[in-house]
Amino acid sequence: MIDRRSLFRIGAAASAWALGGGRVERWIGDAGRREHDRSPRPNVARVERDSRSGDDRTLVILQLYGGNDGFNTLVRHGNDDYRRARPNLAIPRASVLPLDDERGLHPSLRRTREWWDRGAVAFVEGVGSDRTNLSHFKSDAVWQSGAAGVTEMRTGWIGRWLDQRIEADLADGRPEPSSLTAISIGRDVLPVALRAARARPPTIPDLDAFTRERDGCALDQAPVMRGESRAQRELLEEDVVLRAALEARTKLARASELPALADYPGTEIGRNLRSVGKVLRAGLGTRVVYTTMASFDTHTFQAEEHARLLHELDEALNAFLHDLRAQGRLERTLVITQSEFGRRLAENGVGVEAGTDHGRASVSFALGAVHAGFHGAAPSFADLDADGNVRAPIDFRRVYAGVLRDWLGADPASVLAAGVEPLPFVRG
Amino acid sequence: MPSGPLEPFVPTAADPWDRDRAAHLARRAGFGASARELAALVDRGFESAVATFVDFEESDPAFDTLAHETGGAIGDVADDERPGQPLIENVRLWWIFRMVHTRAPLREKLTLLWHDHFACQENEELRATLMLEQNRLFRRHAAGSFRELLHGVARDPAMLMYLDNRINVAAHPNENWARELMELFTLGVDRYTQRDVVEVARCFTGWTTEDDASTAFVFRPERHDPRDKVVLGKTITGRSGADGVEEGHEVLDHLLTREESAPFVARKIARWFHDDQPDEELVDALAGVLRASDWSVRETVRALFRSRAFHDPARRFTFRRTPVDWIASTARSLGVWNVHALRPESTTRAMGMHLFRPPSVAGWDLGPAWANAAAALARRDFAEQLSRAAHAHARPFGAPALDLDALVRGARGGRSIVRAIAARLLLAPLSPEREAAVAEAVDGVSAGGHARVRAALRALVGASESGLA
Repeated sequence: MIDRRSLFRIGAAASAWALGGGRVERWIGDAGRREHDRSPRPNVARVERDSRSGDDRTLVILQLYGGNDGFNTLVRHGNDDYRRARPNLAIPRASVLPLDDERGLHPSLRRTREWWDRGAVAFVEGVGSDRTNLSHFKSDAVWQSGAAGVTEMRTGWIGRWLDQRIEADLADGRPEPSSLTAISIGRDVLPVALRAARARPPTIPDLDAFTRERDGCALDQAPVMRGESRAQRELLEEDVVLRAALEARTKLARASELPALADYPGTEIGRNLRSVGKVLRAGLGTRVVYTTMASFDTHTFQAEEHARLLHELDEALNAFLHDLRAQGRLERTLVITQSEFGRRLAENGVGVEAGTDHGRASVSFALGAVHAGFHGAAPSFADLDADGNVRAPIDFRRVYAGVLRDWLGADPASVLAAGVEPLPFVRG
Repeated sequence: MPSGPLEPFVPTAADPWDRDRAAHLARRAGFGASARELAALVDRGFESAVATFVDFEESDPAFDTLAHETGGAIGDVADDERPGQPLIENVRLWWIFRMVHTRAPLREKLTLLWHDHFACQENEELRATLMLEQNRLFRRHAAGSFRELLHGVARDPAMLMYLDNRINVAAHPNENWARELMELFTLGVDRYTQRDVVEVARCFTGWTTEDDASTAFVFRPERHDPRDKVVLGKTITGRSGADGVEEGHEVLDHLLTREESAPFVARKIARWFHDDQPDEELVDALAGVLRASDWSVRETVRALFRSRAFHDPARRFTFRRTPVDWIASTARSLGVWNVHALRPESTTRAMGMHLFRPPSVAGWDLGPAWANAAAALARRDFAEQLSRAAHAHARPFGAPALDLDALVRGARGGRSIVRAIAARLLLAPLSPEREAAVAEAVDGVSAGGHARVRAALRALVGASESGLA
């Protein structure tokens, strides 16, 4: 239920905040700032700092959707259990890009290996959850909300961080944080991670399309509906979203027009990271960007498919890190990858058709401002669970806790739960 | 006569079957209505109006031919790079054309529901031909028996390919189909164990397609695991030879006997037509209809559309349309004959609903997800495009045809223009404050040509109101 107070706010204020509750969450984002007939030209010189701390450190969450096979990403090349379980899919020892005596990278990750040599890569081994079921959708929701158990929470872990920021700013009488503090690039709808009670982070499937210049329209300035009926509330929500979108469009137009400082591949993830690079460069007060790459659900034809996916990821990340370095932002950007689960150690088919089914433990990697090296704990390939899956020794929320404490300046207990020990992989 | 959540609506003098009620039915069960269709629904009376949607003609060969030929007129049907294949873009346009012009809108809306429910993604392997075949399967069973639909989907080549059952073999069971069959198609998450996933996968070993071109279902006994399985507590007796295929059939029927399955499917139907967070009592009542009618989708939606709960005036404009529903309804209600010239599929894609490319096997999100920044801007963009491209006189092909004079019946003033368009587009008036605001802006536009009509059209098609039903 949206209360009347907020309705008035939305009409009048430069930004609005919302009032959760009711049967589902209702978020209200930035709204009310009026769009004039033609948007102002982008102003590159104006840089919005984080309203609270002047902090412009940025977190980029890269979701590898489908369940990335951690065991063939960070390869334990000397492990006999690994080779036995994967007669078709084990990466031949000679092709692994070695990192140390035990571990190496999939041969597609050539550029990542170069950044490792530059000290810009950390791996978190054994990350996952032993409690979620193996559904993509359920596991993803649990991961993104940062829930402890098997059921997702109503808001996302970044959303709760954002809510706290807004509450603190309101309490201190400061201006609220930028409406672009957290954004999603490359997905159609809002990812669970960014779901907040007091804000509605913009969803930008494609930066260029989103920022196309648009004429004003009669209803842009029409009064918003006020009333308590469900129809009026739904209409209000649509209005608020539209006005927030128009405002985000105006701000992001500045980013869209910037040239990229690196040569990005034309793949989905290449385009997404290229847009992320531009948004960071435009200085819009953005602290968290969520972006995504699909198709990691390699039930079949994994050898060929996974090699292609990791190659695309490797090339795009390489361009992004070069871009950040050219911007002088490499030290102020933290990239983390995550996936809703790992894959089974044993393969499921024969020959080139072989793939892997849903598993548990996987690996996350972190790039940029990291303590380079290995974190977490290597999972055991001998002690499998009842489904034949490798157990995850590291609760995925410990990655978040490290990010919250060392990068976003928040108390992990207030965003996650008490007792989630931060993993110290971030160079804060 | 059922009482409770499905107690039927009974028109009375105080509570008559009227234009507003017929409009609600048309927005929810169909894709809005033209002025003539709406008038006919009111005239027919309540029961007959519901039947107009629910008891549609199963076959309409003249329309099928028209839709097909229109598909051909849109552009090259064949894909040069893949001979013998239609272009997936044309299949999208063909389908949207059907939604806009069919005499059986509920059939198309249910076809869209099944595309969302049994969501497969077109890709380099899973080609347009197979998606088209799957689409025809959904349409054939649209309002029929969910049981028959489920059996059809299990042997549908697109599904066999998309969820990898094509290569599910005894030596290496592949769990992809087995898991989604239970999680997304019949029972819901957590209503089974990982052990059940493995057992179901084993039951379906050998279900595959004829070859990699994958145009026909075939069961290969030599790939089938003939041992016994236990699925959700039931022993499925292992069978060898050609009989092995029966295990899969037995699994499908067994899933439909589980107490979770009817509410799971009923909930989906309620979310598609009524409320994205439906009352559980309503869901249970609809599940009862599904069971009692041996899984008849037609009887289930009929019970919903006849119910007092469905016709509650407080329900009007509380439902967030999916982008495809929105664009088809916009075109149908306004009478945009040649909507495909506006590339509606690229608008729905920008809004987050690309036909034949659902985001995953879970289909699209419903409800609040569609209130997002990109969708709001894309809707506004389409409104701009439509208002510019609309021509005064209808032509069968070429430029998009919307008769602007007929739309507003010669009105010149802002308020009457806005009222006329709202009556067509929303089948309801705007609120007085909003109507006044748009009318004022429209009056500020010079009266020459169709400038005012275009300005009002643009505001209303892009308005928040048009996204709700």
